Amino acid sequence: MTKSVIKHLAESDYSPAQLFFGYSIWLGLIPPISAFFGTYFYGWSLGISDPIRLSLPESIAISIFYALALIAGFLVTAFVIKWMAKVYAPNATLKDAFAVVSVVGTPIMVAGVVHLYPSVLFHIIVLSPVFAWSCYLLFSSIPILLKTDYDRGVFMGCAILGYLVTAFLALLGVSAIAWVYGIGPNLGV
Amino acid sequence: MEKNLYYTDSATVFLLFCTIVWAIIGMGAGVYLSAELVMPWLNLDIAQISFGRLRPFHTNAVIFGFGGSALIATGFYSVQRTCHVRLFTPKLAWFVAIGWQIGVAVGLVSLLMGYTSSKEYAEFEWPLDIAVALVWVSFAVVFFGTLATRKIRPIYVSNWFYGALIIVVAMLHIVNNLALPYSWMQSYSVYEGAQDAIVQWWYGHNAVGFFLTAGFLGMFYYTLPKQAGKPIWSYRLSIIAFWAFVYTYIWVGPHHLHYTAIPDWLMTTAMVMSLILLAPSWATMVNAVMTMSGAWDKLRTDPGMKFVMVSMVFYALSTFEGPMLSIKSVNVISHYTDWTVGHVHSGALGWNAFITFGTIYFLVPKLVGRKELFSKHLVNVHFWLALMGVLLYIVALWGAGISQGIMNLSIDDYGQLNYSFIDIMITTIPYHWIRLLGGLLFLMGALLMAYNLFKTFVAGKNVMPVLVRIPKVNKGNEI
Repeated sequence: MTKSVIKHLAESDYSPAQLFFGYSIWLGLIPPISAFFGTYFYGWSLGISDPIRLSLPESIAISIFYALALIAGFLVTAFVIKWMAKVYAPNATLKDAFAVVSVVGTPIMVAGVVHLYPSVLFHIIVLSPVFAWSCYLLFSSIPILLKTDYDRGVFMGCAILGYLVTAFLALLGVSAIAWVYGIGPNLGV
Repeated sequence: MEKNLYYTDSATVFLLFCTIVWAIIGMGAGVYLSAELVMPWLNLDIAQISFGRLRPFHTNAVIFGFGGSALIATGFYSVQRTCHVRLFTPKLAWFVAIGWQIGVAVGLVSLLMGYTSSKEYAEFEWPLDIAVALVWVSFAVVFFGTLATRKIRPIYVSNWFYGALIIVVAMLHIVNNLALPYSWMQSYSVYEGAQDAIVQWWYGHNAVGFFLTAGFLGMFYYTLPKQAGKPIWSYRLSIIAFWAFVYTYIWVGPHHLHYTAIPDWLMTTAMVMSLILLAPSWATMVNAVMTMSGAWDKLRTDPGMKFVMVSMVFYALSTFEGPMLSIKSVNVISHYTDWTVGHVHSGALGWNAFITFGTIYFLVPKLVGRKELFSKHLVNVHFWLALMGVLLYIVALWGAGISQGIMNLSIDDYGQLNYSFIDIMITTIPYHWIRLLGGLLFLMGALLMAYNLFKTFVAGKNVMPVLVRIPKVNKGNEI
């Protein structure tokens, strides 16, 4: 059923902007909005601690930055896919790249509702199978959406996975530096 | 039969067999000790399998047992073929093969009995250090002897990496393990205090850099072009990357000692050189990806190639994460947390184990005289199990590490720490359960590999030894 839906998407005619503004950006708003409610009304807990609550301006600011980061991440990933497609999928266009990011990102964005209950452990337990499903969608959708064969698709999927994990890690590192320089939790450094 | 007309691979076959055995023992120990962290009763009050003794058992078994055997096996295999000459003193090669197994096995037993120098990855006491050094010098004699008697003039880049492995590891091993013996299984390091720490981590990081990286890059530079059926995308880049890599890596050890009692300038030097190290590492990764990108049709006949591709992905990730963790601001959060353990395993499992699996799946059918492995389907199952295992492992420990890092440093408005040690421990436990699951999946994959290779061997053992005639050197390349 998944494959037939993806095939239908591959055969449809639309522009990247139509896909982005008609579908992707709305899905992409689920995590930041959920995060706002979770952070302001509930507060983040690191397992056993009392929830750490932020003020209203801080919660709104974080949600806005989160939304901007997701949009930037979507666009950068789509352009990286288009760039890699030069080698692995020469028939792919920008709209196909946008489609891959939208398809792979859909489960993750929908699962963004977990931010309503801000516990790190709960997030990992719920999001692990969601990410596994997205990983499956990545490898199964590439040959269909990017109009390439299975073997090249596997290599491209591995390359995109590598880019995604590295980009996430870079975000982690930038976050750590930001925390040490005072933006974020009150750390004794 | 004129022996010198053929390569000799019997020591390689034996060593690859040992590699697989050590994979199961070492990874099994790893799974057991990560289970002990969440179920401490698993030590059954037996000192020999308590966490403190099992942990160095695990690290030494996987690095030196699994990694070492794989490196020596593929070193012997590839140096002959890149030199177009039979191995120099095959009998000494057998001494290396067997001596290495005995040295590692006896060393591991001594660790379980509680004898340790307490230097990480250099826990063996002085008699075993000497024994291991003798075996290593023999390895150097066989390897460099083969290079010296080569029939082809150019020295292929993989041999540079293996050569660097041999020379630098010898230097590191001897310098770091210098000690005054007190009794047969006890000695005192000639270094003390901060000096000891600096020498230890010069050794420790370069053990990772030369044993676990340079050596495996040598393995990779030989096997990948063979598997892909095309030459390295840019040979010039591989040579430039080699020299940049070898020069830069030596400096980065003190990044393990950020914000400890070592000089400020040393921390900064280590941090800067760690960041520079990103360039040669990613140059190799780019070379690999570009080499493989024209060879996708090989996946149909060589399922092990998926392992090689993903090993490069994790190599890219780990060699990005390493420099990032070396940044002092990041290190202040990550040091003494599970983030470091997650980083180690993304490299050890994602890079080292994956490239070894891919190489073994490629080499074993050739060595046992079969066209194909017993089951390609099992290779695929292994691949997905291993990939899921690594990803679960890394993500669990990123979660644990970040939580620990923030909780370690979190202070209230009066400057008091918010969380006690036990608070942090309780938070960590669930992440360790998920890590245990990831490790179990990885071990299951390794067991499937062992079964697959055993069946392949059984099918081929009547054809062994496979005699490979040494081909003529192309005109212009002869010595």
